[in-house]
Amino acid sequence: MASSPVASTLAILSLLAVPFVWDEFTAYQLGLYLLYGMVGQGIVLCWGRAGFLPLGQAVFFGMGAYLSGFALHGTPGWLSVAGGFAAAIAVPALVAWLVGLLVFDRQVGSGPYFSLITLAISMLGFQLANSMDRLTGGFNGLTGISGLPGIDTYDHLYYVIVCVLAITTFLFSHILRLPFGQILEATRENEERLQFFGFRTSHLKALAFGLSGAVAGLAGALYAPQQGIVTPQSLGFQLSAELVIWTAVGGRFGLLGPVVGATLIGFLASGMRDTFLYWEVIVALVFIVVVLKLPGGLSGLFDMVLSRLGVRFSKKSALSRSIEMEQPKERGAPNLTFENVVVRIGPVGILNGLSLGIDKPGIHCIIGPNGAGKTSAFNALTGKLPVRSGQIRWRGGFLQNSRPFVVARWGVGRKFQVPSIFPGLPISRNIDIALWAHRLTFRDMFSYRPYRWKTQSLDRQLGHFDFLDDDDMPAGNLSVGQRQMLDFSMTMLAEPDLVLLDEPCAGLSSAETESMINAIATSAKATGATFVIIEHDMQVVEKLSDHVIVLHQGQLLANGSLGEIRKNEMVKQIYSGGTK
Amino acid sequence: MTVATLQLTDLSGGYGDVVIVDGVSLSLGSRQICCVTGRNGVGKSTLMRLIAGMLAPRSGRLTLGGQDITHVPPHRRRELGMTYAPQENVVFDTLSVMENLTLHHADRALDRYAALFELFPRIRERLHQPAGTLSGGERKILSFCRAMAEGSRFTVFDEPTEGVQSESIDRMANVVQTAKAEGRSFLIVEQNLSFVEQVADDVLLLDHGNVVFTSPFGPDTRAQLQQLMAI
Repeated sequence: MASSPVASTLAILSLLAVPFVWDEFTAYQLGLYLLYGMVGQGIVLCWGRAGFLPLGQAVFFGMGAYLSGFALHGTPGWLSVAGGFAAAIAVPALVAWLVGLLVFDRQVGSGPYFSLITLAISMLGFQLANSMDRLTGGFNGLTGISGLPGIDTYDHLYYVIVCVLAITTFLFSHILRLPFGQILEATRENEERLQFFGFRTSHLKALAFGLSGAVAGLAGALYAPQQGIVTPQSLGFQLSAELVIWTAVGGRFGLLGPVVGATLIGFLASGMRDTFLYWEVIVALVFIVVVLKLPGGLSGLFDMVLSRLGVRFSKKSALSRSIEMEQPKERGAPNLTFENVVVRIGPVGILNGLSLGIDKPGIHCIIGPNGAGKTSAFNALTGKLPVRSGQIRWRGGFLQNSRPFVVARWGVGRKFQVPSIFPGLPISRNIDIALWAHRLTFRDMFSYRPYRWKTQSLDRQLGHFDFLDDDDMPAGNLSVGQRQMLDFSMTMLAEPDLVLLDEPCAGLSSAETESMINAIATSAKATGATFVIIEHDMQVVEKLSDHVIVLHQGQLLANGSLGEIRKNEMVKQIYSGGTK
Repeated sequence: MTVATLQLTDLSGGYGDVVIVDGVSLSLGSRQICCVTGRNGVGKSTLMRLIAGMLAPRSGRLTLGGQDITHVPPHRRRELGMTYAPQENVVFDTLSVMENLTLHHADRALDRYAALFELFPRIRERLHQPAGTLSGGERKILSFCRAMAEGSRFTVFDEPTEGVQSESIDRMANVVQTAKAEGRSFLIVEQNLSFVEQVADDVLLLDHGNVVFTSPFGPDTRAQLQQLMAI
């Protein structure tokens, strides 16, 4: 229910009734908490959806408040108010976007760095606002801010805030449901996998952070006329921390969560502040209990209770896949070469001058003892391991030390040794994201059309693995072998020209191995792509390919037909392969 | 009456609302190796997680050496003589291979690995490098060595040979058989029927969370299993 349109509509209607049920002062107080909740909606987008925690969101709120405060100084007309509001939205959005671009650019996963940097920015913002007396009023704050023209601060501004909150809730709930929102969720689940589908995740995360900056700025813009004063505290660390606490307590996975959190804690604090000396201890305890016991916050608890009572909100039925997407154009001749590739991790040599070439389409197998450098060769090719020296070329491009999304855009697809999927997303969403790889334009990210896409490749994969039809099951519930199959299917749905499969049959029974062999052979025939497969099972090698590359100690040991490899004395000494 | 090393009585469990293992019973004596096989998604790993205490059972009972361990936490199960080597996440990537092997022993000694290092020299060669730099197969071998060196009376392996080259798989089979002769018991989830053939006293086929076939491993068992799994 956390982001259900029905719940949001009911909540907004209830908010509109508050001044009639209680009084104007309560509504005025509530208005402030709603503004904080609005900032929290941006935190939901970043933290709940995309998985990175901004710890300095108040800086954008305060920025918006100051900019709006400047515009509302004296007796402003609607034009200057509109300009002030536009700046209050655009400037924080731009700053957040730029910070996001800089921080996320070389970083996979959110880690603590992003959070710490936003924390530092918040502290910096406070210091600047405090010290720039002439502009901001310094410690005493920016005063003399009038209300919005024609709107009484105590009687009517509350309704404006509720309307704006309704708009942001509506917009954000759409954003969360659109492909853009789904990709953000996939970023939280497995950012690296997204990059191997060619998505430049740093830009998407920066855009999400920019949006959160925009909504924080908008809330700040309304805060200035509501309070009539803006102080440095409005962009400081304390408010930033409180915003995160309110979001966590209310629920970080739905848009109403932060609104509920800010409102409840706001009223709790204002009720106790004058009567109970240690009121902050109570707030802290509430926060600790929620973090420990209710990861979904209070709105998550509400959902759970409803679910126990058997109340279900009807889900929007999945869109039928009715738009047939074009197949890739004629594939060019393959031309993959490794020239003296050296990879070292610390003092350890992983690839020690590996040279090999593949210039024919079809299926090629790499075999070799454990630790020979097979997976490392894939890692070096796909930008997962830094190459010390040597070159890796694919169709004329140099791929060594390129980033994974760049390699993916060269038409290289990869299935990992340990299956790499989006475990928290349903199987159907995993499939969607793979289908979107290399096809989804910026415009498509904000349209529902991509949910209707289908391809011949999808039909093929559904034919091979029937469990892929289970729309709602989270992919994380699949067994390791089924994840292998899902990972393979996802790799194929991205329609790569060069398909790298790392032990696709590991963890499969002999019957399932047969199905996987069949799926690989059929896909190779149907797509005309070049397949390179790492495999230990010689039965699999035999059935799939007649070109075998043997690696040993990070170098090429032998290269030839399976018959030639079997006769090779050097290969016999180090490796015999096996069958299940 | 001989007390079974491991006894499962109507054990059930799963994730959320979904029941994955549905009333499995089995008994494993000392010096016995039982291999569990079956198609993917039938509940093999979930059963192992239930036995290892990584997942709380919905119902049923579990005893180790006659002692009820149904609600005993994993670390206590180790003290009672159980070792578990999972299918995934088998090493601590940022720790060295040596730390991975010795972290859980107060003496930090490598002596207990001497015989295993002779069979798997790559692990000894890589002692000082981060375990995250090992290949997939090498990680599995590390995990296998760590579990075998525990010397527990009962060991659970979940797909120990996945990604391991055949020479090493044969050596693993020999190590397990030697340990069995010394009185240890093993429950092994395995898809590689060649390995199963080398080590199993008994096999158990799971389907949809239930035991659908169980038998001592005989000359025809492999064919029977293949036939059953193909259906």
